[in-house]
Amino acid sequence: MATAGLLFIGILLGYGAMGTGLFIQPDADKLLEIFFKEPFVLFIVLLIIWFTASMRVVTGRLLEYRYLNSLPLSSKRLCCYFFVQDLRRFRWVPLCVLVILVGLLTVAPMVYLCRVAMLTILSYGLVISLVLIAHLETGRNSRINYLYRLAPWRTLLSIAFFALLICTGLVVPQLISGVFFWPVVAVLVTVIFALLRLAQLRFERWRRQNRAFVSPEVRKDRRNVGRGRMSLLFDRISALNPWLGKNLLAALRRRQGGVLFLTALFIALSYLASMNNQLMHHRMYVLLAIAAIYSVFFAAQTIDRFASSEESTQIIYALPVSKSAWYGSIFFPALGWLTGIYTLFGALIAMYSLKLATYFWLQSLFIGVVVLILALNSALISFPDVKTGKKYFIYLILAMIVLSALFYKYHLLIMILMILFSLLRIFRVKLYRMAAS
Amino acid sequence: MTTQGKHLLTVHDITLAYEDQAVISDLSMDVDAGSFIGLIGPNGAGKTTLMLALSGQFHPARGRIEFENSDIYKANDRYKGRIGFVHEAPFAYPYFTAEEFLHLIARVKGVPVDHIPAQVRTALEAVCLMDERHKLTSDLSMGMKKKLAIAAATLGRPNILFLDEALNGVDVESAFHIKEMLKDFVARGGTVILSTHILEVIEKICSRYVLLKAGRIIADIQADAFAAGDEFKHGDLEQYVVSLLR
Repeated sequence: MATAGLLFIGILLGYGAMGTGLFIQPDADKLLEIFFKEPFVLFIVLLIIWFTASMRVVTGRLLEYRYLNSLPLSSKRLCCYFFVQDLRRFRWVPLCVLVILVGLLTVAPMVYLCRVAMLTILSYGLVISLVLIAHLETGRNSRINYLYRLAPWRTLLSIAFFALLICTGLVVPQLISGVFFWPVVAVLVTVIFALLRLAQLRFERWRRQNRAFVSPEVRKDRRNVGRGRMSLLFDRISALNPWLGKNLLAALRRRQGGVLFLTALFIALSYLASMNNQLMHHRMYVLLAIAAIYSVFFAAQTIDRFASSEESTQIIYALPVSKSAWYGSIFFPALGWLTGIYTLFGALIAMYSLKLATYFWLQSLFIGVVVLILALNSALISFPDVKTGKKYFIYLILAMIVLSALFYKYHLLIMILMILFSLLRIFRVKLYRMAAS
Repeated sequence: MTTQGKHLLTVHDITLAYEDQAVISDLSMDVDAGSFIGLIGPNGAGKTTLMLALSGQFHPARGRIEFENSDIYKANDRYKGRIGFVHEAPFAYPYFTAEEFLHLIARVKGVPVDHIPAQVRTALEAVCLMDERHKLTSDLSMGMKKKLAIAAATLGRPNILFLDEALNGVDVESAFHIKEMLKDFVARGGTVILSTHILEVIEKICSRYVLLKAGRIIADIQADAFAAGDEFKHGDLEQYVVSLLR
């Protein structure tokens, strides 16, 4: 794998940064005009997914750090282990950026895009080392575990830095062309190695202090669970559906301010991207496509609500759990969130056409409901195996897209049939384990 | 609750296997209402697997399990509403306080809304967790989590309690109170199936000892008969178990 990666980088360098190819540049205006339409939105969606995926890793990492710290391993080895692990874990990020770059082939020469690809790979390495060092940066007098508290902001800033580097490469093509290219590469590589060395030193300090973990008592002090207010809300909703009450309470206590910020950013950027189109209904269709893509990603993320990190088979299998109540407790909040997003998009469209906004809202809501049902059905059918659930969901979505494209006249019927097909399987789901025969 | 002496649970020739290995083979047993069963056996004997099957969480590949003459996997939800289960490493939702967690479990178990506060309070007192009721479950120690799981299992006035290594890691005073609570539960007609490696606990509180080895029952003894010592010359449960496992 590592050899293939190095070979790929070698090819990129060989083709994009040697000879006269090094001086070839695109028409910057044309490139930007195309990039800041749909590719940019995809780019932002990708970064948001990266951020969300990073956040999932943080809690598990705490245990891993604690365990590995107890083993007789050198700081250097451990530091490299975490770096390589993160490089591998998020390798889909540079790959997806490369795919987005391929989409620019019509307006930018291949040799230039190879250089942007190199910049992407180096920026990715830089961000991973930045995040790693930030994870290990634990102050002497700190009472608070950085792994928990500052992880979202650190990761967000690092990812924003990554986006900035790529965008700079596209906005100022001369920076990665001609005589500037090799110095940029040299600086990035040097910074990565310097950061890794620094991470190693920080790791050693962290081990010496061994203060990265605070006692439960200290954590308790800084957690404001807002018991009285929450309990009232919890009681009222729980009377209708205990699982719904539980999920809402958990969502409230997670304090996902970062997610709200990113979503607002995503909506604003999507709207700006759609403004590149002159015709109003074209703008609406661009936003509809973005909303549909978002719905699919969001629905796929919702499947994780059935993962062992969120829901325990211990509880689900041991208690008299009503499938419909459990299903509803995940479906309705997810649908509420999607409806909120569609309404915000709809409000932006309503600024120039109320009719188009209504059409958008109804269409996107329909897509959202279908996609969510398919996702949750897939998850429940495969419970507790979330990976299989996601795979099943992807197959269903692909089948739905292909069949709807082939028989567009019957696309509504196709969607309904797919939902019914997965619903039939839900009735057979048993909330207990089956012994192998 | 069912009167003492009747078979509450009947197990007919069950076989349980994971993907790569059989754990329980053709096992049959009866459980009477009001009995306190101690499940003993070496690691890997199948104690946890048997408890999961008996509690409606692991459908056997062959055989059936009946609760009051009806298959527990046919009316699974109804059956689960009448039992309580404590896992060896219990799980609790991290964003909940101990009290909120118990409220959730009580609601899922279908406890009438008016009865929930009283039942939760009683359960917390029984396991000595009243002072920790406002703590987040993620801030509880493993021993406290076990106590919380025991409290959760007792909600909804179950007929049977399954305790899988439930007293391991629980402090002395709490363990004493829990044992008293379990004895009281049995005295009122409830049934307890307890799996543990601590033979002293089993010897002290159980009315029946079931010894499992490699997925089979190799001894099923009433505590009274064992204490009388006529058939069991060793007179000491530990020595007797070790002699059977050799």
